[in-house]
Amino acid sequence: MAYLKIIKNGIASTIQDNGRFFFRESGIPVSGAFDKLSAQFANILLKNKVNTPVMEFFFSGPIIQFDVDVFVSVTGANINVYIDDNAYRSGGVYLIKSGSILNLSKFKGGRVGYLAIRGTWDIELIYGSSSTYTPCKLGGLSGRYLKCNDTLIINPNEYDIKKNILNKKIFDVAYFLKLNMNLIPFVKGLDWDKFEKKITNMFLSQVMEIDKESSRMGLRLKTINMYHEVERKHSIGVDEGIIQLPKNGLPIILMADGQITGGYPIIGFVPKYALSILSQINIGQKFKFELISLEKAKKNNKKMLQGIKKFKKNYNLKYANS
Amino acid sequence: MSNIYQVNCISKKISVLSDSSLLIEFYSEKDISDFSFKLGKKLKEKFSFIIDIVPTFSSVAVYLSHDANILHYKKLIEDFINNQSNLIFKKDSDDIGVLHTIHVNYNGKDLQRVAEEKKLNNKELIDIHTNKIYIVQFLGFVPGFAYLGSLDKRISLPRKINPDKNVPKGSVAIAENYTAIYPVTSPGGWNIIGHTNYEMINEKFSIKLKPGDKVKFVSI
Repeated sequence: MAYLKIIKNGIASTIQDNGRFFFRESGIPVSGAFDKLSAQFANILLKNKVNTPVMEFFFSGPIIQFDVDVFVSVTGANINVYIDDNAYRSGGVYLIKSGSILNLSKFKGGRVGYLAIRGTWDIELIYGSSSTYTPCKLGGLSGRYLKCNDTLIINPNEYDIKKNILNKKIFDVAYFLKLNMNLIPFVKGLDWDKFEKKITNMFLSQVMEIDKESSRMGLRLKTINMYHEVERKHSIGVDEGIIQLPKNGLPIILMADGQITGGYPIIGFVPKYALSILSQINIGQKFKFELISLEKAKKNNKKMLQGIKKFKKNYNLKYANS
Repeated sequence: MSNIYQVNCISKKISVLSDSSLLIEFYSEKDISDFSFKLGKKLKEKFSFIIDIVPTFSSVAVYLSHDANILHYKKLIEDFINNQSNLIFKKDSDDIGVLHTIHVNYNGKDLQRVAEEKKLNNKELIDIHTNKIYIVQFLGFVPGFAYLGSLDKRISLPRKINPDKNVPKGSVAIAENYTAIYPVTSPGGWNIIGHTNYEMINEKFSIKLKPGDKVKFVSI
């Protein structure tokens, strides 16, 4: 039995996967990785099954010791990957020898990082998923953040990967998506037409900033207060990426742990292909929204899925044999 | 109350909620969430591309697999609903749910303000809130958060303009036509009138209150 041990826990470190589906009608949120695309790529680099759990951490990652030789990958934020005394760039695959220490505490940019291991984790499935939903102590490791001295059982697999690509950056999410963090695309939401022109114009022109009160549930935005009188009479089902505009005039973007239903008016939504970039924007970093059509959002979503397929095919041909 | 009712499917609207979800809304003055739930279930059974449904007051949100062509599926769902111009639903006998008695300490931080806004004294407000057996209309917001309807109009009021960042677990709250209990500490915008020790989800994460169950509040 092999395991990894948390020497230092990092910030808000949890176990996540693609999320919990089919149970929203019972009030079970989808949850899953905050940056689902980066989490997915952590597994792609190791040729793991898509929904294999990953370790997620914000702003500063954990320090971990392994008692077994294991191939790992690190994606998401731009992180200094220290293995004992050697430093590498994130976005690659690394071989960690038994007894070695992996240090992911130094972020150079971005908000959230992912660690995947080649193989499987011993994490119980709850409602079909390993994802941790801390507000309800559900899933992952006892539904909580990882702590110092936690040991997690892992089952590493062999990996026949070309040695010359080890320790090198081979994936960068911003480069892959060809998006920049200053301009976040959105599509008009259900209630867009109910807002006065003055409000929608402000929404289009004002600089937005990620507030420190943000969490895995949602990103709160700091901007000019767009006070308005629009009301939703009843709560409705909501979704990841939806931008609510409460009467206090400060937008909230629902993220991975977002609630099932919401009563605030919906001014827009950020399409799937842009959620990864959005999730990497740091506290205090500024951006603007850019209005795009649903057609364009669909096209870009499709492009992203095709891009993933193409990357996998190339990668498997060039670097990984098994 | 009649146990059969009809919903006119012509007076509906299907909108794009996000790039992988749709919202089917019916124009209804009364709570038809049990109908929304059954329609959602029917759609989920019929179409394999639907992964989740969330029924509420007079709408049902339908969530599609992420690679789905949303406008194509919107059309399929529209056609399906249009083909059944009127949907008639019977309230099944198994809809008659369990009665839960929940003890509440009416000491919520918004109690005084709500009473003043509604021109009642605290006791009158508590009497109105405890005087009724509520029905679990649907679940949402966070796991186990049951929307209990319907709230007496005399104490109905909107959500708070500035939502609280931390509403404690067990808070008993009201907003619009509903009352609810926060199953876990979470942000929230409902008006908090009291607190209870009642556990809404157990250690195995099974949900206590199910759609159709009844709730009676008792002041302690």
